[in-house]
Amino acid sequence: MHIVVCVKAVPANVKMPVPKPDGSGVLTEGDAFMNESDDYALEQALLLKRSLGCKVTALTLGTIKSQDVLHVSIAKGADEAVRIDADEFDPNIISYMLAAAIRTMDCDLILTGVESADGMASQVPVSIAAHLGIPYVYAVSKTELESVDGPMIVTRELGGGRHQTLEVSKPALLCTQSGTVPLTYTPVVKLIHARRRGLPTLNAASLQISEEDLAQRRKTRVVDVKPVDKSSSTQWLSGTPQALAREIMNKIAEVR
Amino acid sequence: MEPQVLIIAEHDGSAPDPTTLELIAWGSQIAAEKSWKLGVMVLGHAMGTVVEALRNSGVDAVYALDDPALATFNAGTHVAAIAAALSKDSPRVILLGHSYLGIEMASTIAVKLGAPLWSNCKTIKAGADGFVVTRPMCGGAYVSTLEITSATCNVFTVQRGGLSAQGLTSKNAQVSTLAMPADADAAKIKVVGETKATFAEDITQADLLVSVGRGIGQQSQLDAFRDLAKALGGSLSASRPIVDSGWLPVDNQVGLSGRTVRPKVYLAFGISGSAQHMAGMRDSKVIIAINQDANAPIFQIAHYGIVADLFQILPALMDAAKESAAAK
Ligand SMILES: Cc1cc2nc3c(=O)[nH]c(=O)nc-3n(C[C@H](O)[C@H](O)[C@H](O)COP(=O)(O)OP(=O)(O)OC[C@H]3O[C@@H](n4cnc5c(N)ncnc54)[C@H](O)[C@@H]3O)c2cc1C
Ligand SMILES: Nc1ncnc2c1ncn2[C@@H]1O[C@H](COP(=O)(O)O)[C@@H](O)[C@H]1O
Repeated sequence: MHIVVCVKAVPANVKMPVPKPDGSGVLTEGDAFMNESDDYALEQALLLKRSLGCKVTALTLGTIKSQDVLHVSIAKGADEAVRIDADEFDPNIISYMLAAAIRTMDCDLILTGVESADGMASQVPVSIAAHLGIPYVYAVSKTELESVDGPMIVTRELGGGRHQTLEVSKPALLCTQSGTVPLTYTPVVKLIHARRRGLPTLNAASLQISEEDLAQRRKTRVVDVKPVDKSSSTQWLSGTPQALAREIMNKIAEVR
Repeated sequence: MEPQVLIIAEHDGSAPDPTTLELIAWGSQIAAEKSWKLGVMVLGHAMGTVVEALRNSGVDAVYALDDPALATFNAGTHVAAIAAALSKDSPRVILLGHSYLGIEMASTIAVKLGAPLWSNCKTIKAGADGFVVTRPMCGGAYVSTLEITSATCNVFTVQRGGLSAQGLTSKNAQVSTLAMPADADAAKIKVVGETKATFAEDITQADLLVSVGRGIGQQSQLDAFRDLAKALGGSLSASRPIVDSGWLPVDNQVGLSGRTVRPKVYLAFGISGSAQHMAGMRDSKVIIAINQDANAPIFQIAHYGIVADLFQILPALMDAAKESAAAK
């Protein structure tokens, strides 16, 4: 059994992102880390690898800056890691290219996160599944697979603490929620080792995606990025900790 | 299908979801701007009151698909039914909620119709030859504005809370019944069970919540906040990462996948205010947020905002709370 895990490198502690001059995306500074729920997807894949002996491939689409999440994936126990070398921002295009890559990989299960911290689309995974025409489940909190050929029993969130249990046939795509499996520590020695490994890359051309095809799919431009509007009715409190504590106590007393 | 703007409704079997009514408000704006018609499609089983409410919700047309196979949600079945109804001629705009159900359906509808999807929109405006949407990014601290060139069909998922559904007037819409397509086969996924939530501790009963997020840094800090909650006569609650880390049980989680709370006072310590978190606490009477990042989205809904390191304030607040408890 072959599991592909889609992991995205996302910037941490973003300070003042700006649109690229041509509107093709957003510029952020600083290092990129593995997206939170993708970390859980990877751990879930590695759990299945340990119990059933699967092969695990980590896949990302991004520039060279995103390569480290693949090295981290290898250090954690992924067998292979592949990067689609592209600088794309639109989830419509990201999912189209990821689906094209996965199509060449002959896999039985695709695991992804639920939402990327930077793009916040919750769109890429289901779009990949739609392009591949395979079943998918969003917000998976539990994945049970006793044997490689056995039925896959999946529990997913429906909100408000409600859950649905599903029987899903493979190949399938599951969007793994955060917090669903224990995260393991990444040994530094393994990471150093993994970082020495050269990783294969794909690109639009090697995926048989033509420039015209991509050009036709480009339908958006980022024209502005700004901090979220603060409520005009927020009353800002400031002062010494003691003064603030007193103010908070007063505000509490007013409504209770 | 005649309406150029189509909304895919969500409901609980007896009434449309508030998200759907907001979508109708968004759809009405787009329809008015473009002189288009607005329709809503609703899927489910035995949902007479839902259909009646939608008929009077301000849309021009209601399309109802009532079938036992649609009684429980299964994205495969639902999308197949929607796609079959739209196969001949698709609307220009399809709107869904950015919800568990909307997220599962929107991408597949878009791919089936060859349409682009713009998800998690906070606002949508129709312009001369396209749309302008705003979307959250980078954890919700920032908002991006995107200009979109219109495709033949354009699918959007929209966040709750961006537009009031008040003031829509009934157009006494006509109801058409759709047939369940023969091939709406969902055998690839079988729903084998659905569970309601059971919670041991009921944080929804507390009239004051001390709520902690990732900003508290370490599990060892939790006791201090538990003490504070106690001194204030309230309960301790948390954002999802605290529960994900196993520091508190899911009983104490506030938000979309956890609990919806409406205490008199919600004290948020080190919680950024993701849409999923705010979905569970935005109706609290008084929200006091303490966060060192002035751009944290929690300040969008906080009544009182304190931009500071929470550890600077905690000891003083603890003292003040104990003093006040002793005085009572
Ligand atoms: C389908 C789905 C369902 C979800 N359901 C829920 C849900 O029910 N509930 C929920 O909460 N989340 C939910 N989430 C997760 C949600 O998207 C966010 O990831 C989460 O709410 C973030 O939690 P947080 O605010 O504690 O952490 P962060 O977003 O990491 O925020 C931490 C904050 O602490 C501040 N901070 C750090 N240090 C300090 C300091 N010393 N002093 C003051 N401030 C400090 C930072 O500025 C930051 O704003 C869900 C996600 C998905 C995809
Ligand atoms: N560039 C990318 N490379 C690999 N996986 C991605 C990428 N973008 C999104 N994903 C996957 O899709 C999930 C949801 O992302 P999004 O749709 O951007 O919210 C993430 O958690 C990842 O698993």
